[in-house]
Amino acid sequence: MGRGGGMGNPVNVGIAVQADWENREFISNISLNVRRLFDFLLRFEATTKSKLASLNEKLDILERKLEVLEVQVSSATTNPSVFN
Amino acid sequence: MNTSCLKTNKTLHTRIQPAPPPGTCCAIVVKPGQRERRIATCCPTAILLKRSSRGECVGRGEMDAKAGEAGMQPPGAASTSGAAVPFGRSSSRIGAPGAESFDGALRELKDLRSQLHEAADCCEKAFRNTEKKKLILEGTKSYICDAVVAVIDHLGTVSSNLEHKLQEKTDVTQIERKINFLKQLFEGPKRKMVLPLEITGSSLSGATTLKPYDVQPAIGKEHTMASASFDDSPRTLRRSFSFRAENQINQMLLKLCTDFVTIYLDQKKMIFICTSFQDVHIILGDHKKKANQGSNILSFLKKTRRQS
Repeated sequence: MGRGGGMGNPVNVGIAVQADWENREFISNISLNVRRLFDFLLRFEATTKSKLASLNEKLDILERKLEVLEVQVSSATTNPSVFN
Repeated sequence: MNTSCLKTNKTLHTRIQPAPPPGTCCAIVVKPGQRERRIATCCPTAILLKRSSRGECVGRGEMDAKAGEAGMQPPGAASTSGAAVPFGRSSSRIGAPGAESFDGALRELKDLRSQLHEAADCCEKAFRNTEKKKLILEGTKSYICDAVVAVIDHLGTVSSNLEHKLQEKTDVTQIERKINFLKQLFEGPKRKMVLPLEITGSSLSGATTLKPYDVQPAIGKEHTMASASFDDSPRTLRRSFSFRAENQINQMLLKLCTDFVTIYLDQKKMIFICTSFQDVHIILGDHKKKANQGSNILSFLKKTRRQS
């Protein structure tokens, strides 16, 4: 029994070690994927910010143009003889 | 198989068709060879089950059902240890109504956070309270894998939707075109009004460029231009306006020339002109030359008077 237990213990330890290594591998895989996900999120944030900034700039320009047109329309309505 | 959701105690459906209405089921049993399907709006604790070719229930649902029968896990832990799928990773592929739009995909992604937190707590509880730790561990592993895949899937959906929306920009371009069109409409009459002023100013400032000796062809050209129809383009307008101004100046110069000739022929006025010439030269300080010039002109006038 003692020998058997002595022989069995290393086997159990080996199994436990193997299971531990498998768990570690799993955790490392998961952490790697999470890191990749994080990197993707960072890049996605940067690109989205730049694109949204360019879109915002375009919208600002359009807003200014619209304001200019609004002023022109108001001046035309107040003094239509200028545009005739 | 007679199972029910351990969290909501609702009976599980065993058929795919017809699809159960939202809110009435917590799980859908998938037939062999078919992909897992889940209605995302039915229940946040939906359980995905697979039926094998022999008719047995396999997969995560089986594990939860067994654990529930054995009474090893608490109801909350059993529902989330492996069976409860708080994320619909296939929702974006199936094309759920909420996932089609960017808002829907973003909402699903936001919902994932709380569900993942809840699932993690439940897994921890189950692992501490049960003796079948290996089973719970395997279930948790598979759950984590599915969760990561689902998060990536949702992120991909959100990013692709956002990218698509940002790349479209059709509304912005349409508005830009409309604004440019309105601007042109307003600038058209303005340019017509402003151009003559600009041209007269430029032509007056650059009077040396005008050719007063080319009066006749210019007048002829003016007639041809007047008969011709004007284009709306600003270049032709500018040309026509500059040509008009030039012709006007040429006409004025011609008139001045004719007046000058008539005055020159009138003797009395000619004397006046010569005296004025003399005055001008005196003012300039060239007395001798002016006197000679003035005498020359006077002698020339006397000669012409005698001849006449």
